[in-house]
Amino acid sequence: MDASQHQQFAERVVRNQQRVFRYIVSLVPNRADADELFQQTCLTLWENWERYDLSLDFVPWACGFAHNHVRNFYRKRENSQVQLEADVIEMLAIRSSERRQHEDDKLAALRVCLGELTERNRSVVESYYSGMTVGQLAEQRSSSANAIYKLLDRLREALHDCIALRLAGGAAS
Amino acid sequence: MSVSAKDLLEELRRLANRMADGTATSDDAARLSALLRERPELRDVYLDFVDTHAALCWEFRNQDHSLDMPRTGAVIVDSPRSPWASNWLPWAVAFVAAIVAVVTLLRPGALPDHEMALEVANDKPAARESISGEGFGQLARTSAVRWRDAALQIGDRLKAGRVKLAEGTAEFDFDNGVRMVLTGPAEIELRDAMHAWLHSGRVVFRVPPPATGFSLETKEAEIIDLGTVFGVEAGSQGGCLMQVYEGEVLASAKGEALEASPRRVLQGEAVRVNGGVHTTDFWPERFVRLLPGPDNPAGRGAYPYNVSQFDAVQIVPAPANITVDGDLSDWNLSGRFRTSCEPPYGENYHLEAAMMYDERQLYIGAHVGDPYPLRSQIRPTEPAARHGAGGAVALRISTDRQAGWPLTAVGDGERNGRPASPADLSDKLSFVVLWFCEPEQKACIHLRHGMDLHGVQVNPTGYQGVYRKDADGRGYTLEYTIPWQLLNAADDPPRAGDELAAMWLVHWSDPAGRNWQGQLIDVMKPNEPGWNFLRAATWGKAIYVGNP
Repeated sequence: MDASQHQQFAERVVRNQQRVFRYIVSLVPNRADADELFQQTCLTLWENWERYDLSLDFVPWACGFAHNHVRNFYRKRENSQVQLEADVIEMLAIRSSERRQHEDDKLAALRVCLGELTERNRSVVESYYSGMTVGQLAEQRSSSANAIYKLLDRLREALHDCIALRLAGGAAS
Repeated sequence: MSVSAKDLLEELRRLANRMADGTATSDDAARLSALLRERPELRDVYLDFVDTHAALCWEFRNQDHSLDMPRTGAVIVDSPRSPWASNWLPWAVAFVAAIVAVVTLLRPGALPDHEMALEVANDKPAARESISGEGFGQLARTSAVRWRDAALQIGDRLKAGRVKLAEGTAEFDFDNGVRMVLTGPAEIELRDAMHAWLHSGRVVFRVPPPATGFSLETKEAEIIDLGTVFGVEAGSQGGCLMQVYEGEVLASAKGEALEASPRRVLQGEAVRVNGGVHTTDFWPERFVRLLPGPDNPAGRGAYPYNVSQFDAVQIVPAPANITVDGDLSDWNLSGRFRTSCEPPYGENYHLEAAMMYDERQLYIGAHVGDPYPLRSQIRPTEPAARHGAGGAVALRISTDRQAGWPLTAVGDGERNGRPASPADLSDKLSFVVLWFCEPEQKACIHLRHGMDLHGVQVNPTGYQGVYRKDADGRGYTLEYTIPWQLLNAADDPPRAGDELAAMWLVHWSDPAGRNWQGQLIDVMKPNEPGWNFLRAATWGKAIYVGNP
């Protein structure tokens, strides 16, 4: 692969990394674990860039590496972590790699929907997904951890519904 | 929808939420597995819902540096520079036992008395008193500092106690070779030459081999150096953030089970410690290491290590028969300007730049003060985002005669979900990076366009570039010509009287020519907030001067 092909590879990595990350999260919802797996996948991609055929779709190729890391991750933690059963994870992996709809639109819709939350609720979502623990959020807001979990669940559902509505509207127009 | 189907969906969401929260029990996982196995139609519903969680993770994944470019982060782009990447994981796993053993030994009171490191690192009051009585270092340099409580002067001896810095940057040299760069606002408790507690703020430690084992604590973390340069931020939301520039450290979360901690963090890695040790993005610019000046982890490049002195650059007509040879003596230098980093570094880190034009091309000439000139090991085949990391000059240039100045184009992070406008994606807004690739002995260039930085071209046909190192090895001169065609302006190149936009940036590297160390940005629109990668309104004015 020459310099120009390497450049194309790099561009594909940058353009598609969020898809790979989301594929990993679909199989490993824990943020910290998913982050770790994403980093490992990125390293593997760069180690294997010379094997990449530019005529191939990048995302399935990259998700193949991610899938291997996910599989190894669950294998190593089989007895120490609450997880879906292995055959179900494989089913989800197959289905997740087949689904490519609305991937870019979803992030745009999410940003709009986040903007529709009250400032207080948006702040909870942002703090949590930026790395704050539920315990810290509870302390900060003089609330209980349980209440924060419930609030996060409600907000996640509200955002999910809002995104779905927007994507449906976008598709219709 | 039937009631039972609705109930099923509610149950699925409840279980998916618990998976996302990390609160699912074994029973929850088993129930969810059964649902997904037996009801294929629920798999998409589940994946859809978890994808919302995934999108949120992604959206806020780089929150600490949300102004970074590109929005998608640069973990991948940075990865190739890590030579340990290929064997890090098995290596780390293989060393877990050793790591635990080392940390156990380094815990206060655990080392045998004859070990030098222990004598200094442990918490025995007698040892600390002895050191604090004599002092164990001194304040070496400052930049724009304001102290809280006790003001320190250059040369003041450092003793055990708290250092409170309201603002600015202060550099301390310990007698054992440790160098500490503290960026205010910060409060650090120095216990002795080998042990400190960071209460808040940002600090970078450079620890030479004799001081290996130096330890730093924060509310959330214990960090033990294994011969390295590392930066730590404490006291902010989300726990303690630590990243390693050179070597390696051990990081453990306080209160975490021993088997899960500590974690070995290697060069080029960053972690957030908050109940656990979690990987986060590594950004070289996150900490001030050598050069002084206000820095901000929230905005890569938002706060350069200099104060911009110029709001405009004059681009003057080029004389005929310019030879591109790294010697600017045949140039029209009437538009040149000189700028430098903040004292005391301005003497070594500075820029003298000039620009010329004719109907065919743009001329860029500069002399850069650089203690480690022309050492970049970054090859043109590496990802574009790495090209400037080993030392480079970069420019932002608009050739859009219709847009004029100031520009209104913005990047993705400034649009709040709005679609990009044609101005945002204009091919006539260029980002140009110029660097000398030492391994290939080549004057390189890369060009990208628009605020989305599309259309990467690396060393395209048509440009010329030559570098010349100073005789005393303390700087270099560069000379480039870039055809208007490469700046997408062949159809309508700038002409005398135009006032367009431009900005100059210089990146300095470490002696190895691979890691960013500091930068200078000049020719900026005064009082314009924001970052040049996201708001073209920050770019200064480029005045195309006509012949007299």
